[in-house]
Amino acid sequence: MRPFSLFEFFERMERWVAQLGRGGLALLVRLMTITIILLALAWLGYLFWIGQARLNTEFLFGFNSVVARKAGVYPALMGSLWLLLMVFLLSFPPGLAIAVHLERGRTNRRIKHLISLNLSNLAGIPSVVYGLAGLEIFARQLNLGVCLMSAALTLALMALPTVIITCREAIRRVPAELEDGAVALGATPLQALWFQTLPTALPGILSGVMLSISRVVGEAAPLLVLGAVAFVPYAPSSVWDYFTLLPVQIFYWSNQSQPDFAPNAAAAVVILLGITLIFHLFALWIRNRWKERIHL
Amino acid sequence: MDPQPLERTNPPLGEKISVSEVNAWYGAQQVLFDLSMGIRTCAVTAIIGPSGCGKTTLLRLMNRLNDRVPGARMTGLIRMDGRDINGPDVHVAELRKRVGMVFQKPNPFPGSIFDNVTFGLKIRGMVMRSFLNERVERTLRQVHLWDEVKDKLKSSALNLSGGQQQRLCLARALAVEPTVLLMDEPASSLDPINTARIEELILQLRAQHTIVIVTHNMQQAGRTSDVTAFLHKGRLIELADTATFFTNPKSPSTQDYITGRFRL
Repeated sequence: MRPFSLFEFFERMERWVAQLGRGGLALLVRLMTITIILLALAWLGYLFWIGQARLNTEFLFGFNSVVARKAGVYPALMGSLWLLLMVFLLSFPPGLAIAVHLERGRTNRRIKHLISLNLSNLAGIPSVVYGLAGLEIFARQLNLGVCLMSAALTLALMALPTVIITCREAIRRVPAELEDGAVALGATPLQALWFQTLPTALPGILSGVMLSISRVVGEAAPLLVLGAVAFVPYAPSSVWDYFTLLPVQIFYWSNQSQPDFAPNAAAAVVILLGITLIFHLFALWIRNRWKERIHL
Repeated sequence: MDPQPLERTNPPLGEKISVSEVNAWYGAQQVLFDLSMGIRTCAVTAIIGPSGCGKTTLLRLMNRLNDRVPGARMTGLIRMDGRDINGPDVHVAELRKRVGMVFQKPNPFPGSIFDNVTFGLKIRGMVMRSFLNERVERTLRQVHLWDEVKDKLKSSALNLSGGQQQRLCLARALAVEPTVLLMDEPASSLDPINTARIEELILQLRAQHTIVIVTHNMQQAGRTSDVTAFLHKGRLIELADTATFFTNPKSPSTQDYITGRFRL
């Protein structure tokens, strides 16, 4: 018997996999993909079917009610849109600034390394923990109470690590030669950053930021902890208002004992998915347009 | 394209830049040792030498681009028109406006061709449309790119070929009217035809510009330069008129290098 050879082993493995790929494996992978897509579509169709009675403008622009048939999703929808905007405004500017500093700033390399290590840790913390932190810091210590502002601050804090990480990625993908070229023409470092690097990185930054924010605003857990689960009969008109939002509203309706509320929950899920889908498509569109720009 | 270099009416013999006793480091590693040399006004100075000999570092010290490299530092004196370029009264952006640079790899900005040429002007507040149009046309004509791009000034510079991009980068540098041009292996990523174009441009530009070109191509140094400097391991080995340098080098290691018998 010949001695075992790793070279030969790999060669055989590759031949075996290639053979499988020609026949069964490719088919299997394709089948699995189709199954997953079909399952998702089936679930979506089921939600549509359950919620179809409520998928109308009355539901979309109606206010909450104790009677399931009269309850509308408007306060929750507006709450979600308010939060989307506020979280963007609260997490994007500081996130971008920190990312720029970490990429271009003159801080000690070790400190930067420590910060980025912490960032990836923070990005992995369960959302409930952020909710508890938000409750204690914003609602209680800063005395903001349970309002849109404390919710937005909590979610912004939660989005910040991913926002920073995606911004850093986008900035890093802009070749350094670009900035050198601008500086060699007499631009100050800030001018080079502002007029060349950031515009080039902007689509990447925006698409990453939008993905992370839309994910965060889809979270119910942190805001349940913050105290947002309640019957809210009006849409917020200022950032200090009490509020509800789609995920919390869905949770609230699906927790009701009367089965009449199930269609409401299903219809709200469809609306939430719609918003998220629009956001993701927009982000994808931006990213694809960006790809054409960054061949250097 | 006109292959004839412009006639120089008054060959100036002054020194535009003088480098004296310059040492440079990246972190703890020293890359330039006690280097002194003069760069002649309105002439082409070629700096040749094996990879890692400090050619590019020397070039990047002349427009203080190395200020941006973390851990890079230098001692010694670099003077331009008699003034210490590292002096406290020197505005570094102004210095870089007067000392243009073309990089090894074409690095046009992702904007339009027009935006590329006008960037250096716009950041100085020169935004008058007629002035910009005039300057764009003039500099693009200067690098013989005008006829190729005059109908698509608004289209992206990244759609140009490598050779066109490099000429655009040259036009971009010329637009702010520098007196010195630093070129870091400007033709190393180009094909022979585009290389020849760049070399012709160098010969034309030296009428009004002091040019320093870093190259590892000795034929290129021979064709384009008036003065050639040979650097090895961060030290200046030889500096002479190009004709003398290649026909009658003094140092044995220069001789070895230009004849290809060089051992690192």
